[in-house]
Amino acid sequence: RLLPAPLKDAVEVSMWRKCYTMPEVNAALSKIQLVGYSQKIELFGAVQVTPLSSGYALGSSNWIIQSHYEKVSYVSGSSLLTTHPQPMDQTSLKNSDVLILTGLTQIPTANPDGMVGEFCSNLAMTVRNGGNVLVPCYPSGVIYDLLECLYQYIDSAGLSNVPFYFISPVANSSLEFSQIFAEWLCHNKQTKVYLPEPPFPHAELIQTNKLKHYPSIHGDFSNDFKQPCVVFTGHPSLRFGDVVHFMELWGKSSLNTVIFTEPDFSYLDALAPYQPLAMKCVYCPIDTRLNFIQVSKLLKEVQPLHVVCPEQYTQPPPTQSHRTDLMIDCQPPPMSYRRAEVLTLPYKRRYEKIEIMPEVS
Amino acid sequence: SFSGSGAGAGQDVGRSCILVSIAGKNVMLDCGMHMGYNDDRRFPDFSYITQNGRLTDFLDCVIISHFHLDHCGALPYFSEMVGYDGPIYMTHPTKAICPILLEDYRKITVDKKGEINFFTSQMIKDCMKKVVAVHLHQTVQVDEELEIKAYYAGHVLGAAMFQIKVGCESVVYTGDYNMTPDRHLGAAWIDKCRPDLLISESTYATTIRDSKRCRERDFLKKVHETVERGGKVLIPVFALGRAQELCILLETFWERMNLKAPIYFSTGLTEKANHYYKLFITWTNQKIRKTFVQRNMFEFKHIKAFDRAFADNPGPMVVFATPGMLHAGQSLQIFKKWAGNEKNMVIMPGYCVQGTVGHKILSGQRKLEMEGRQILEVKMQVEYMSFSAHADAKGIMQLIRQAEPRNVLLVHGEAKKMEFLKQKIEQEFHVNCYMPANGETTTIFTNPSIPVDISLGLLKRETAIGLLPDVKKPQLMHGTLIMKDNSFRLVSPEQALKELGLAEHQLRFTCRVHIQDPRKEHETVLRVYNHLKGVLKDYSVQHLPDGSITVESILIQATAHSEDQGTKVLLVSWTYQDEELGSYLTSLLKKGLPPSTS
Repeated sequence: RLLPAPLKDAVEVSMWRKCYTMPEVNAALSKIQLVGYSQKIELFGAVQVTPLSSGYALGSSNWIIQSHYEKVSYVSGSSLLTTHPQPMDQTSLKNSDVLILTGLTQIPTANPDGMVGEFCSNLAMTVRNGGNVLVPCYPSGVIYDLLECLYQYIDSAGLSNVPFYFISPVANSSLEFSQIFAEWLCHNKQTKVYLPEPPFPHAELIQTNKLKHYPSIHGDFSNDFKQPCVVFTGHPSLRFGDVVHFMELWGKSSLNTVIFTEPDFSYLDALAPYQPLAMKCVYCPIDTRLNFIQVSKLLKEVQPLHVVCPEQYTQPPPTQSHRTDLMIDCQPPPMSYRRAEVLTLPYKRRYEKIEIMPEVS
Repeated sequence: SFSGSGAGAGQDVGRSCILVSIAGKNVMLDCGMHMGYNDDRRFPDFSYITQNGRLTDFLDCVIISHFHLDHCGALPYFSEMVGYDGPIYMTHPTKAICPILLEDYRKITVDKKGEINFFTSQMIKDCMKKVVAVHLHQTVQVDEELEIKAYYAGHVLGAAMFQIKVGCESVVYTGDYNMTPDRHLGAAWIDKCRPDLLISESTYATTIRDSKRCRERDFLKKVHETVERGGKVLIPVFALGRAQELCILLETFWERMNLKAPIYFSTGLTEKANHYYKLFITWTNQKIRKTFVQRNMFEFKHIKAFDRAFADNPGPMVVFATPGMLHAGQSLQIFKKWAGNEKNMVIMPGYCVQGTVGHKILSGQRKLEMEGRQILEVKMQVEYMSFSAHADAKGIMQLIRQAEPRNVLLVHGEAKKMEFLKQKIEQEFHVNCYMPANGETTTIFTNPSIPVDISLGLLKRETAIGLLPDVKKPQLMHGTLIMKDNSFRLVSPEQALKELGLAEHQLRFTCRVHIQDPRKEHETVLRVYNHLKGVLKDYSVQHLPDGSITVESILIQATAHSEDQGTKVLLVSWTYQDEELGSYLTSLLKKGLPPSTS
């Protein structure tokens, strides 16, 4: 009760659980079987499962589950924009009996390219005026695209003397791993690897000391730390991680800016405990996943017999109830599901597969 | 059925090029050049394919297993000079590294040796534009019927084994592979895909190679001894492949023993090689992949770039120089310089093709004829240590056990050794094993089953007949097979008639069986009923209230004979579908009834 909103309205605190431990993480990971795009995997002789590129992140997948007679496509977290991952495989989704659609963009009204532009210009402006820029982010994913954008932008924006810091316990691994999965990247990046050259330009940023990475703010970072600078660090919720330190360090000056690029958290909620804040706050969330216009086009292209999606997508968002374009619109109308609900899918098998022995034929 | 022809590598290690025809599709496997020849014989003979017309029309695709020149060296010649515009498939590392090695080979042949009828740099680039890169285990649809799939082969970075599948028939081509992991690559792996044919390399068909540790110890001992007495060690290698393996081995040894003698690697391809290994680290073995973030195994502290001038430096040194069989280039130059001194040593780490200097000195030749009729006396020590990553006999058997092919075909080996292995395979696995020579066609017949869609209604109905269907006993079923385009459907006759708009005609048979029985009809019927019920325990025998008996759907009625009261006539009536049971019943009843116990 004594906590500020929204914490005071939070679900029963007694039901909160402890976060999983590393041994539990490793035990879970050990059960994983690695597969590749378009690899057909037989499950118990009953169905065949195939991952397809969804175009959203490195290795992100949509899945086809099929038997001899039925085909179900599971489409979630997909993107048609040309960022670093392999483009979305749409052709293989055709001829589906059922297409389950979820994981659409959380910001259907924003244009990701525009957001990236705003990100760069706000960053440049802050730095030119002698301020620091804090970017709360995840250690992989969009950060690769942001670094690539900045790489191209640096010289023209006069940012050559500003250090970029990437602080995370997995900063080094993330940057290294991004360079070894050429086969999962878009065609342009694959061609670079044939030269050979690393597919992501952040390799050069590291080589020329423009980008420095540290496992935490303690240790080497405290010696190298120079301001003004740009810091990429986590966690985007602003509740834990090194980002908290920087919020407290830079919050009192209006020269500094915090730029929110992750769509997962409401930035106002995230900032609430830090108020009052002199620091400037810029909200330009970058979510490359499918919006409703792209979904319409996709469904027309792929033409599944039935579409299944979460209830939320069958009506406009509650905050914009007049926007009838912000929902899934297709013929026949989609079947929707709610949490904890069981949905029976509408097909009846009429045939089974047998084999005629050569002697009989 | 399908046939495979070797245009190269049949009973020979030299140039690999195999043509497979499977269910009407034609696939070319590898397109290599022979390093022992300097004339037309170095390329496979494509004329006997082209007599069928244009290559692009004839071939559905070309598959390249890995970047060694004896598997891809003729590719630009084939695609740009002979002419082929269809797809060429290979893995990503192969696509990255092939053009580098091809360009290198072209430079040596044309610029340094001045040959003319050879492919150009532009041709290499144009050829690579036709290449489609594939991932491991990705099912690649070449067209609607033909699909291919790559498996990890070990051997060198990016090497793959390929499964080619058309409908129910499939072939697996191994390229070169290795069944044991080494210091930088993993072991080949394939699932139990049961191909109709497995085409396997057999470079080491008769050898069971001794433990790798022994070979490594031996190698290090020889290098160490030579260097200790002030001699120079030449190790001819290809820039990519075994070189990385040996570098890791020497680096670890130098570090452990704190040795000071310099180790050099000839420049040009080296730095690039390092980059490729780093960018394609997912193709190396588990240990390297796990540690690459902290430490790049391919960045060496003790191994430096070589300069031509160093060859004349006094004192001990170890030099890795390209190319690998001492047939040209820098390794041959250094060899010529060092051959005269018995303190020096040359270690051949892999197979040498006939005709190369490497092969000659390994065969014991100590006087070699060089260009300009000059004789070179070889006083330096010549050692052969097989580090090339090919499967030995045990490994080949292991692969066959993993994949369970129905037939095996051996290539890429020497005839006598292959013969020995062929017999072993036939004995142990009871499958046919072939070993064709160059240009020879092998035809293998397959016996595929035909997949059919059966209507669920029909299946359920037919399996419900009989009291307790025995799964081991074959059961008779009635249905209609409808063949349309390439699909087969088995449906009930009623459904078929309806679909095809045909009228049904019923065929009914009636047979009269005379039984001697003076009693009333209904008593005869009872006797017949009890008799049949006792004999036909697996069938449904019923006595109906109207006085007739049914056995399944066959009707039996008894009437009195019109003239003879002591004879009863049994009418047995059945439809065409029940022919088998009907005739059986008739013969049974004709035998007569057992005496009644009333």
